[in-house]
Amino acid sequence: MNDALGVVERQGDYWSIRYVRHIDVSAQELWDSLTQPERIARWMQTESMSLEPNVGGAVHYYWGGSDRCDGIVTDFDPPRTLAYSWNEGANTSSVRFDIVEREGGVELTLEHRTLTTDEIKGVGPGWHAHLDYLDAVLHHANFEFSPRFESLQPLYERVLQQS
Amino acid sequence: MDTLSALADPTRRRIIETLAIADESVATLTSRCRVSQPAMSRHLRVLRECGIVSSHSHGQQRIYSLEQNSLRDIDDWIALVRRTWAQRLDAIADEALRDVTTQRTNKSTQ
Repeated sequence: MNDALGVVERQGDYWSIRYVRHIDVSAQELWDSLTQPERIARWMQTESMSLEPNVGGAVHYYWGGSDRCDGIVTDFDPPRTLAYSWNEGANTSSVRFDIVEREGGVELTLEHRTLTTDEIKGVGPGWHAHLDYLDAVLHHANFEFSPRFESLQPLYERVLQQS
Repeated sequence: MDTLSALADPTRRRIIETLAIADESVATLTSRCRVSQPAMSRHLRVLRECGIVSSHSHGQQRIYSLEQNSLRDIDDWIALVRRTWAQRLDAIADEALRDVTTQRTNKSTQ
C-alpha cells in the first residue's frame, strides 16, 4: 500500500488527478497488467472487462448492477503509454498511463483528466485503492478493496476541500 | 445528487432495503446486492452524500446504517401531491354535484 495521495488540480469546473508509483516489476509485466482484460479485471475488481489493444479500440468496464464505464483507446504504445477515454455517465474524461523504466523497476504515472466535482470524489480514492490492488496482485499479495477505499475517502475529501 | 436521483438506481434501492432491516458491513452489502466492491463503495458514497446512510467504524470494518429522517423529503413530497390531488378530486366531486343539483332544479321548474 502506498500512502502518497494523488496530486489534485482544479481547472475551472473540472479536476485532474495524477498518481506516481514506483513498482519493482519490468515494464512489460506492468504493461500486461494494464492491457490484458483478465489481468485488469482482477485489480479493477470488475465483473467483466474488455480492451481492444489498438488506437480506436473499445474499452468496457462492468462492475455489476448499473455500474459501467465505456471508452475508446486514444494512445497505445507498448510498453510505455496507454490512454483511453472514460465515460461512466454524462461526462467524458480521459485516463493516461505512462511507464518509465527506473532502477529496480518502473515508474508508473496515472493521470485522469476532465473529471467533474462529483466524479473526482470517487475517482480520487478509487484509483488510489486500485493502484494499491495492482501492486498487491503483482506481488501475489492479498488485498481488500473496500476497507482501503473507505480509509482513503476522508483523506481525499480533505484535499478536495483545500483545492 | 438529490435523494430521488440517488433512489433511481436499483442497486441503491436494494442497499436501502437491506439497511432498513439491520445495519450492515460493506462486505455483507456487497454480497447481498451482488455487485463488486468498487461498485458498492461508489453507491455507498452517493447515499452518504445524500445523507441517506451514515457509517461508523467497528474495529476494522465500517458499519452502515440508514438515516431514518433522510427519506422524509420524499414522504413530504408524496403527501403534498396526494393532498393536491385529493383537493382536485374534491373540486371535481363538487362540480359534479352542482351539475346534478342544477339539472334537478331545472327539471322541477320545467
